[in-house]
Amino acid sequence: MKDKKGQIRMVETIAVLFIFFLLLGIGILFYFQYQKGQMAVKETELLGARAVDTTLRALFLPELICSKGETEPEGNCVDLMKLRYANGTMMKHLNDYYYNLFGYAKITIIEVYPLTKEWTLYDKEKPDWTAKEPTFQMINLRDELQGISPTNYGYGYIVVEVYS
Amino acid sequence: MIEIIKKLNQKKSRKGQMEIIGLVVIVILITLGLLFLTQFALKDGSDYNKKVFTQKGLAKSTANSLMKITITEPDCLSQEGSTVNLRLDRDLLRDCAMHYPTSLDSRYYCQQQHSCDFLEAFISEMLEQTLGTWGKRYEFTAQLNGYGQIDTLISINAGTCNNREKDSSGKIPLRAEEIGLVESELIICD
Repeated sequence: MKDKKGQIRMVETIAVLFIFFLLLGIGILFYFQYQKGQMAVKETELLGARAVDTTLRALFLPELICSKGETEPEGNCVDLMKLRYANGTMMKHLNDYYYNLFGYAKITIIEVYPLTKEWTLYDKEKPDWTAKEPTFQMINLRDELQGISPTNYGYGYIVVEVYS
Repeated sequence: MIEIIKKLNQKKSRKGQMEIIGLVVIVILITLGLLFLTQFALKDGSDYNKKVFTQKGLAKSTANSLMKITITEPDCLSQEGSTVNLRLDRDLLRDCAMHYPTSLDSRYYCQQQHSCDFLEAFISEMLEQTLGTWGKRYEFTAQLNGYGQIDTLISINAGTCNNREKDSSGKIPLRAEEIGLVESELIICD
């Protein structure tokens, strides 16, 4: 009689433990799924932040920005006179200088008006990239070589793509 | 006999206590699960900062860059008939405001069009070549805020932004002598 009671209790305890561990397992599984989702969101956020950072660096690069002697440089403006030469210089010093500034990214400037032209300033593709985040910003392209008054401002945009 | 009854009662109360503890553990587990669930459901996973920078920054940079463009069309003529290079805001938009409505003669004519008509077509083309190709919806307006009267000089709509999350460039003011203030605004939405 005592043995049977003990057996019943043991089965009862095992059942309770089984349910407890089942609940715990479901909890752990759910938590891992949640963490996995969170990691992906964090990764996207970091990539977005890097895209913003790289775009700002490109927009305020002294090699490109429109300057007027000692006065403050013009925002969202690229000097075409600088751009024509920066193109070659940046590609030449891609690994020894610009990689530290932009990392794995691609920077392109596209002129929409008056001409349609494209300059790839920097291109360093990550070998095994899984995601690419492009950021667009409109700019004016100042061309002093036109020799017309008022100063000639074209219209275009800068595309900064970052890889992860 | 009394001792046996006492022992039985003790056993029963212990069993009751164990059951209560088990119940409490289950309740704690369920509460924790619910807490995770609500946290998961309420947290906005979008990269908000990037969106603010790109969309709002894009609206501002687009409107500001547009205003600064120098129009170098070979057939942009002044009233005197000479070819001129014009700045979009200071020359053409101001001229449009000062010679509105389009039934009046404007000072500058580009592609044989009144400055207001030319500007509407030109800005529309520029926006379509950029924002349009990226699949953005946008609204561009330039209004003349005169003395007690508001006239819409330019109105461009590429899809409506009603009931959508939109970002504005803010109103860009331009003073048109004696007539009032021209306010241009670009609104972008996905």
